[in-house]
Amino acid sequence: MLARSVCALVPAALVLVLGPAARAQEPPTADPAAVARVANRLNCPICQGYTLRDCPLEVCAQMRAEIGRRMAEGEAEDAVVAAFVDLYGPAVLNEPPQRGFALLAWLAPIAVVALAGFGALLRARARPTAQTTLQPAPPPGYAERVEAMARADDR
Amino acid sequence: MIDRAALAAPPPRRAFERAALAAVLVAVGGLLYALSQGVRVGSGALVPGAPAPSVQTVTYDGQPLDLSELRGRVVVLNFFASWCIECVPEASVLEAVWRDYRDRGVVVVGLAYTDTEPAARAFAKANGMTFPIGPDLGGRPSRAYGLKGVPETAVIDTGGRLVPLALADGRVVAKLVGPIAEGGPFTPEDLRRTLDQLLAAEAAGDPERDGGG
Amino acid sequence: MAELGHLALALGFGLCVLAAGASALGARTASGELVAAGRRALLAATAMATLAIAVLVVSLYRHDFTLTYVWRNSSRTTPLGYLLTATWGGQEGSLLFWSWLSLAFASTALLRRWRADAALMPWFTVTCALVCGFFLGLVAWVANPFERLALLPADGNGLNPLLQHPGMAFHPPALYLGFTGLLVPFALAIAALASGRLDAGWIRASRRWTLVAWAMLTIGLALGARWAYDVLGWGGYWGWDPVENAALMPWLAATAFLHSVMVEERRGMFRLWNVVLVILAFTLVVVGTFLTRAGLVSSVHAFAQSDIGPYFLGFTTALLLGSILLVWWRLPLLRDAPGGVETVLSREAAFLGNNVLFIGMLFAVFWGTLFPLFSELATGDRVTVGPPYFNRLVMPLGWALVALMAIGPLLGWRQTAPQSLRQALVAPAVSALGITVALLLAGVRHPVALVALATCAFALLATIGEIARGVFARRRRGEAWPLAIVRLFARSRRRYGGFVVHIGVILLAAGVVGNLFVASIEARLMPGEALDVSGYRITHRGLTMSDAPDVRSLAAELEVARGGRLLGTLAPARMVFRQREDQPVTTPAILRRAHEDVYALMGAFDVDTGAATIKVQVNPLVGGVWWGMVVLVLGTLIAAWPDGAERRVLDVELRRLGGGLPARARPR
Repeated sequence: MLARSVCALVPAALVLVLGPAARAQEPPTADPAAVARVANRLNCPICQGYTLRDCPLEVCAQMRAEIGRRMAEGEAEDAVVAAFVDLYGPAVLNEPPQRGFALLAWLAPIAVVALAGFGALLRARARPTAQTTLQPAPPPGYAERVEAMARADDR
Repeated sequence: MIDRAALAAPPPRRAFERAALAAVLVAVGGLLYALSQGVRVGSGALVPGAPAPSVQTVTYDGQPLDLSELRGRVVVLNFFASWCIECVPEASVLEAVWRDYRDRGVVVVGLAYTDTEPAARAFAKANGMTFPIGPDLGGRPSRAYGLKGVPETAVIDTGGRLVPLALADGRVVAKLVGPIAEGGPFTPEDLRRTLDQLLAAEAAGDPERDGGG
Repeated sequence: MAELGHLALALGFGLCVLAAGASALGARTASGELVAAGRRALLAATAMATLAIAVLVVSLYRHDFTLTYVWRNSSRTTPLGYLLTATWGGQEGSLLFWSWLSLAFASTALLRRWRADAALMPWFTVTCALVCGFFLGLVAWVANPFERLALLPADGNGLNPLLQHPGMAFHPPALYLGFTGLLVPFALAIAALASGRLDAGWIRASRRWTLVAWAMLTIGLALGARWAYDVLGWGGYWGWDPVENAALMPWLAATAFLHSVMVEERRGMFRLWNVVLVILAFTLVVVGTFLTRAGLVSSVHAFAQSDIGPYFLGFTTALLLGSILLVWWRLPLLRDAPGGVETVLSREAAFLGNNVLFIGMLFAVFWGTLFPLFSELATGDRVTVGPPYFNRLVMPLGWALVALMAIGPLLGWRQTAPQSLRQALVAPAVSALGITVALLLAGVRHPVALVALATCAFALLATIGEIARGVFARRRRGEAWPLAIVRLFARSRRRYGGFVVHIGVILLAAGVVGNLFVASIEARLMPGEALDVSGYRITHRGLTMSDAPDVRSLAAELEVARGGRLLGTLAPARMVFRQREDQPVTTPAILRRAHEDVYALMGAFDVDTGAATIKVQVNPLVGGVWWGMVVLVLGTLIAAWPDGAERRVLDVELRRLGGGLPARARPR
């Protein structure tokens, strides 16, 4: 959580120095909604908690500009995402890719819930219900005596 | 408080329990192994004198850059970023070293960490950097060097090993964390001295002896 | 003075080792004197830890900067109140604080329950002594807060400005109270396993401890969320950050445990579940603090790297393997009482489902938090597991739990007559449907939101219905309204306190749905310009500067209007603390309305023109999150309040269960 705090701290000073210059150099972007969509699929590589869309860091603004530039040149959303993965590694993706080893990230919890549910069901049902009749019934008046005991303690 | 009904449990459950125990032990063992590796990696695996982790990227001019192909030259590997304030004065230091030492077999390489090409190029232009710069491709070089931020610098000798860098407080590190600056733990003079010693050792024909220290 | 502190730590460690040895030997040889000696040793160790932490606090207040820790975490200008919080502001101090709390809890339990749970106390002492001894030893020799600097600095580094906030002052202690509090139920479970006394006695002994520790964890998590929202300024309150997850996981296990023990108390079932859940809860506490402190996952949560990693790893290994072996050894005694889950429409089945869902959530959070590490080991590439992953996997299970909250309390033990269930649920179901239709008509089209809100409505109405039923039953006996409600809660605190907790969770869940409808906009505004979002018009009036003794701040004056009417002003600011001039802090400004928040943050600015980059976010329903948390804690207070009559009835039943007789339904 303090990752966010670091990211909140760093840009304030940097932005003073680099902000105006960088903004002046921002190239024209393609459809902002599409850029936001792509940026939302990517993570700020420095802070571990912001998407590229929300990150206030100047470098993230530059990356958003880069996305815009690529899309303005006609690259598809998925191609831009793939290019970013090549440049910065799979850690730049917001969530584990659904391919390769990372697929395990998605499958394992689902498997665990399924297994746990199944296992619990099977073991719970495995017990024969006939055993319950073997137990002696509580003596008559027992319930009332316990209630009276409890009420007496109440005073 | 033994439950008599439990003792009459049917035998097949014992096998199931054994299998469950085995599974649990395997899972726990795997977890502990993973955590132990994490601890090992986290504590910083860069050791002075050890082989330098490999670096593979493509410079912004389109030239492929591979650390292993630079064997036989001394490499000053610098991680910087266009958004990094402390990198600005350091850039001139590195540029001066590049100008003075490139004919003596030293290569200065800059890797732009978490940066975009336009910004990195603009930064290089603004600060007069003419040595090869390229992206931290795939994030792998920075991870291999255990980067915690920028700037950080390592020196690699002709044999591809990390050169021990002696800091002002007496510590010897494999990688400098922070800028090469006046008044800092590692000054530009320290860098030049380290390079001079390395080159002298090479000239003396002793490939086993690392410089510095 | 610092030497005294260090000596106290070393002595405390020795006493813990002594306590463990004496109690273990005493337990094996049934020697009362040895066991008593072990108890005294643990109490003495607590005194030592108290001395050590007192020395640290005094050193902080005396500004003894020869101590590295004092120098690094405080300064002469740190406000007095925050000097105290500096005790746990750094790695070493927080570990000492942890050790002290663990020992304090262990000693309190030892003193209070010595006679009541005499059979468990020897092994309880051993477990507590071993755990506390580890932490104390770690503090004494690896992460020593009493390390001296070679020279005497004039002033200290100062406390991180972000920590100088009331929320941050209470958030770590609350969490630590929760984490360390879970030691007692865990130690009681281990004691039960070791001594073979696996009747419900250890559960009875641990119930209130678990509840209190759980409540502190909840408060700690709530404070953390509130602080993140109010101070950090990224517009949210939960980011699925690894350190947040490290605190959430024990909470999930403890919640499951709290529910699951009811089945063991009532019917002697789920014995293995309960032992596993409480061991899991404490193990996750240890693994969680390990993750936080050893830098295994990328989260810059302010602890400097230190060498405690390998020690924690060894301790965790011993903890896990020891627990697994103990459980395996005692597996025959953990067989459930005869009966089993007879039908799906029973409370046992509901609790079973509850356990499965919680385990599922727990695993998803655990897996997602550690997966970057796993993937780096397996493939060399680190992947990021972020909020989309957790939201997609954890949320559905959460909603299933909300639905279960509605149905569970309405089911009977062993079986339920379908008609009574139908009667109880028809009204809430119909109303929920009605609310869904109303939402559709109002323009809400998001399918997930509709399902989620319908589930919330259903659960809320079902729960309120149950409370109402109880009140009406008492009314029929002639009690006045207020008396009926008060007496109902007083007589059956656990049940009705639990209902209030559930209502709190439902409110929280409804607040979370609001995340789907967050709208945000960012623009660079000159003074006089405005931006529009979600029907609000935010006008920038200009920048204002202010100078206080310890902080300079620059704020943007914003006017918030809706439909032409001025609602209020916001002043998001950028503050520079004198001590930490290189770490400016941007604080958000929040306009809290009943059904949504308007949240403003200032980015870049230009002092000459007065222009500023303003980001405004509208967070619907976020009030539900805060009120939900308050109601949750309130319900816990009600449920945890000591209740003589209830306890006695329960004790009688539990004693009978130990003898193997079946339980009967509790009087409503």
